[in-house]
This record gives sequence, C-alpha cells and structure tokens, in this order.
Amino acid sequence: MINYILNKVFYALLTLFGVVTVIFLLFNVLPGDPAQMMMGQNEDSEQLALIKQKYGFDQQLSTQYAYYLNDLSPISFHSENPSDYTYLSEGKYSAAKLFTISNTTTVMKWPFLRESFTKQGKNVSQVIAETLPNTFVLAVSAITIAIIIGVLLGIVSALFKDHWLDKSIQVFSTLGMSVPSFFSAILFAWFFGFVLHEYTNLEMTGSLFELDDFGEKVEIKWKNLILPAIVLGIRPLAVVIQLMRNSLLEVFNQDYIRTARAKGLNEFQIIRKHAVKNALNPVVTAISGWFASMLAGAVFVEYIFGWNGLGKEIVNALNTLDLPVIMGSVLVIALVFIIINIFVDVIYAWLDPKVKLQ
Amino acid sequence: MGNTNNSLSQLALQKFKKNFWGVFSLCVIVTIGLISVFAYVLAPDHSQNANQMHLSIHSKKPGFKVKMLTIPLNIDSKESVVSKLFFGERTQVSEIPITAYFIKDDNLVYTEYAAEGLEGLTKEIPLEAFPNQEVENYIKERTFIFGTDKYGRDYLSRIIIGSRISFFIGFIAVFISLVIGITMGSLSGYYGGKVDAAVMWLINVTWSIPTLLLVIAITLALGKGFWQVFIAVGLTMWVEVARVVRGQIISAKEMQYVTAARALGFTDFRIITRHILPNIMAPIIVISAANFAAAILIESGLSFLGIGAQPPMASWGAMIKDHYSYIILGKPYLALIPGLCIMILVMSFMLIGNALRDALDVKTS
Repeated sequence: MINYILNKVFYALLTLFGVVTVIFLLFNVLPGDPAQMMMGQNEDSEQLALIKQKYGFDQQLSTQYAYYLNDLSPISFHSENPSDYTYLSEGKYSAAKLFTISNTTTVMKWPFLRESFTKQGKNVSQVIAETLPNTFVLAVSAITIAIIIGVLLGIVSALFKDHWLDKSIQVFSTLGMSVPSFFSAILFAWFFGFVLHEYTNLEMTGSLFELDDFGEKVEIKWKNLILPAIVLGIRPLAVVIQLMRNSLLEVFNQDYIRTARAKGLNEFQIIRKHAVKNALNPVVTAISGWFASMLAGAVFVEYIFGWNGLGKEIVNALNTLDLPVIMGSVLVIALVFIIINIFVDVIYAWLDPKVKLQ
Repeated sequence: MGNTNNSLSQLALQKFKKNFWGVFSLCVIVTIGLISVFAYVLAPDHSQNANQMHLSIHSKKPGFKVKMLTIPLNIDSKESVVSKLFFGERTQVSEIPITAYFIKDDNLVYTEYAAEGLEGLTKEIPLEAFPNQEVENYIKERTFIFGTDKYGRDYLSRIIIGSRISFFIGFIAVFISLVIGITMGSLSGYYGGKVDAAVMWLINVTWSIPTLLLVIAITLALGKGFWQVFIAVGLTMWVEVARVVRGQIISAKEMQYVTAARALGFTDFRIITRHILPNIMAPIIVISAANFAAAILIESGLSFLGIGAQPPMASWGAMIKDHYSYIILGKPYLALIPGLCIMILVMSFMLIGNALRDALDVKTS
C-alpha cells in the first residue's frame, strides 16, 4: 500500500512538473512585452529595466524557466548577491535557511508565485489565499446540492423508467448540460434576484463577506451563497442524474437484487440497502473529477454574481493582463485536481485491492 | 424481402431513424447549418458582420418599425457576387431612420428619428444624391423582428450571422482534436511501452489543467481573435479522443484480424489506418459529437469574457456579454435570445450524440 501511494505521488509530481512547464511556456511566448504591459502607457526606460530585472524578464528563456522552477520549489537555492534575481530578500520569500555552500543558500520555503502586476507589491499567494476559501465554500455547496438532488432524481428516474416522470427528469438533465453556465447565472440572477426579489429577498450580486449597512463591520451573508451555489451545481447535477440512473438500472439487473426480491424485501428496502450503495461507485468517481473543474467553472458564476472568489479574480486579472495572478491560479487549480485524484486513487485501492494490480 | 444483407452501418442507420430525438436534432442541426452558410442571404442586414448601426434607434423592442432613408455613398465596390453572398457587403449606403420627409426645391427635407418625446433634427439633402431622383425608392419601412441592439443594429441579422462562429468552432475544434487525438492515441495504444508512457504523461498534464483555463492561457499566448480560439479549443479537446482511441486500439491489437494483417507483413501504418481505425470509428464519432457541443459552450464562454471573437464580429456569447446589463432595464430578451440559441444548438449536438451512441451500440466507460 505504501509503495502504491508513493508511486502515485511520484507520478503526480511528474504531472505537476509538466503542468508548470506548460504554463510557463504558454505565458512566456506572449506576443507582448510583459514588462511594458505592467507599465501601461508609461515610457520610463529606467523603470522598465528595473521591472525586467525584478521579474527576471531580462534573462534568457531557459534561465527564466530555471528561476520559475526555483521560485516554485519548496527547497530552493538562493544567491547572496543582492542584484541577482534569486537573492533571498525578506519581502519576497519567507524561508527557513538550511545551509550555505559558497554564496548559495539552500532554503526551505512556501512556493513563491511571484508578485501581482497590478496590485502593487501584493504576492499572488496572498491573492489566492484570500479568494480560494470563498471559491471553496461555493464549490462545496454546489457539489452538495448536486449530489443530494442528483442522487434522488436519479433514483426516481430509474424506478420510473420510461414513465413521464423519468422522461421529464431526462429532459431537465439534458437541458442542464447544454446551458452555458454564464447564461444560467444571468437567468437565475435576473429571475430570482430581480423579478422575484420581493418574494425571495435575494440580491442579484453579492459575496459571502460584505460590509454591513454602516460600512463598519464585515459580516457573513449566507443568503448570497444560495443562487451561485445552485447555478454552479446545475451541470454536475445533470451529470449525477444520468450516472445514477444508468448505474442503478444496471444494478437492478444483477442477481443479488433478484435474490433480495425473492426474499420478500419491499422495493424501498431493496433500494436503500442493496441497490444504492452499489450504484454510487461511478457517481463518486465522477464527482471527484467534477470538483476541480468546478473551481474553473466558478469563473463565470463568480463573475456574474460578484462573488469574491478565485474565479472573479481570474477574470479581473484577464482584463488587466495580470499574468502572475492567472499563472498562479491555473497552477493552484491544477494542483487541487492532482491532489484530489491521488486521494480518489488511494481510496479506491483501499476499497478494492484489485485496483492496485492494474 | 430484399433485406438480407444488412451491414452494421445500415443497422445503425435503421436504429438511428427510429430515435425521434436523434432525427429531430439532426434536422435542427442541418437547419442551423444551412442558416449559417447562407447567413448573409437570409439576414435582413446584408452588411459585413451585420454591422449597420443606427444609434438613434438603439435597443428597440422586437417588431419595431421605422422609415429608413438610404443614401448611396457612391463608393465603388469590386466585390464579386459570391463574396457578397457569403461574406456580406461592404457598407455602400448610409441609413438614416426618419419620421417624416417632403420634397422642397430639388431638396429632400427629412426629420431624423429621435427618442420618444424629443423633436428630431430636420435636415436637407439635394435630390441629386439619389440616382434617377426617385426618392421613394430610397425610403422604405423597415421592421426589426428581434428589435435592435445597443448600437441600433438589427438583432435578427446579428443572431443569424452569429450562428457561423458557433458552427465553425465546432468543426475546426473537432477536426484539430481528431487529428491530434487519433495520432497520439494510435501511437500510444499500438506501440505501448515508453511511447505510451510519454503520451499518457502528456494526456495527464493536459487533463490536469481545466479546459477553460487552458484555453484562456493558449488564447493569451496566441493573441485575441477567433482563429486563436479555434486552435486553442482544438488543442485542449484532443485528450478525450486520444484516451478513447488508445483504449480501443489496445483491445483491438489482440484481435485476430490484426494478427493476420501482421502475418501478411503489412506496415504498422497500414494496419492502424486501414484495419484498426475503421473498426473503432463508432466511439470516435460519439465523442466528436460531445466535443462539438463542448466547443460551442467554450467559445461562447470565451466570447462572453471578451477574449473570443472580437467586435464587430457577431458571436452569441459576445452578444450576451454586450446586453446582459439590459435584463434589469426591461429588455431581458436581448440576453435571452442568443442564450437560447446556444442552448438549442448545444442540446441538439448532445441529443444526437446520445442517439448515435445508442445506434452504434457504444459502451460508455
């Protein structure tokens, strides 16, 4: 088992390395000059050179790549020379020194995602740390809604196969898969936040933490979570319904269900005790995959509902071409995806020893 | 009764024909496809990108009617009929919405259309501006079936021409994803070993970056624009194709017909392209239909964020972006119409994908 886990972790690191490389390459073959992008219309060549040096843009691509890896790696090498890019400055890295060999200090640190272009002197890690929890709350609520309603509707759909109930659930599910999430977000915001505002008392936009009416205190507004969570949950909900229905129908054909029927159990007990448990497997796999892509799908939902999460931050960064923020966000989301995958693999291996052999 | 030799594809066709929703969505797709090909013939506004703006009649309700004075601009255009039919005309006229007009001493006096309660400007123009001086031919009543957008462009025309991008992106992205996906999948499935490990690594890396974000990154690298989006979407969707092809080839490799082909001394290339690929077409077709739908969704999302098709090009996603603030101004249809169009097109591709899966008897894994 330990070996299996180590194997998975090693492969995940290899994948992560690939992701870092792809991201680095994509963002460094940009047609524009990133240093000029940061300066905007300003044409101060001295300042331009300073920025280039600060971000390492004046170096060759391979050197820049090495710097990038060095910045991201938890164990990294730093020069003692203050003019060098890798100089261990207090503001940049919060690191614990390990040892020094001939002017090169080896340190252990948090991965450094560099500084935002547009938010003066703010680290990308800080931006992400502020926004990711909000996205996380949103994604977890959405997936919870999707699982609960999806599994229930899936069971109903399978039980009433070919009945009008099944058919309308199917239509609903196909609809859910074909609506662009930004469109459903607009629809929901408009309908429940504007047209029915008197009855629902929900706002069209709003974040989890908002200033109170006097602008003094930050308070949690749970009701702002309702609409974005439902909208973000629509697509996974549609998928869960389909998966649950299909796998339940398959389970119904198994011998042990027939045995349970022969024993005289009623339908409700058969479903609760025998069928659902076994039908849940493919649903669990799908959900683990969905969770990470929801972090990305949150981009539209957060943007439209004004939810202060990572997705909204990405849209802002896109508009201001704040490349370090986009790079950092993509990297973090990919990391979450990879970590979830390891977990799922390990849990599966633990549940079903056959998996390890494959 | 002559139905003796039903090939597998004939059987699949028969099965497909019985699926009402499959046939229905095929009809929808063909209709929208025809509309997008003949967009400029069908659209009331024939100008390129349906970009004829009339700011004085911006965001009018559907069914809005106005008298339109057309003033020829005397620009020589050397466009061929074909290019006019398929790519629209360059603007050669200036259109002015008017409320009233009369003729006075060889001059046409007209009152420009103005918003409710306001008096429009009265202007004069010499009759010589109109060939043959038959002014009546240049004043027509125009009806805007879907109303006008925030620049006073005919919304119906924009919708019709916007269908092109959604359709195009599907084709091109699916084509790119098939070329890369089949190549990669065949290589890794057929040769196994180190090639397989390398391709699988690449698949896992691409897989780990959420599609939308990867497309955003690629579009940033290639620059904004619609070709860039096409390529970016294609470059992210090959992964699914490659996975399916790889899995299929691994199992097909053990089949006797492949061993037979090997015994005959055929090259690997020939075995893969002539023997294996035709046998694994079914799942590839099914996944392409799904990819088509996904590509349309991604394009509309990118255009909504403003990094897809750039103005004045009409794209459904961009039209929602331009008009979604109007939903609280009592004109929700401006955002709803393009949204419904996207939904219908995507849903048709999903339903057709399902119907094909049933007809071709593909196991979903």
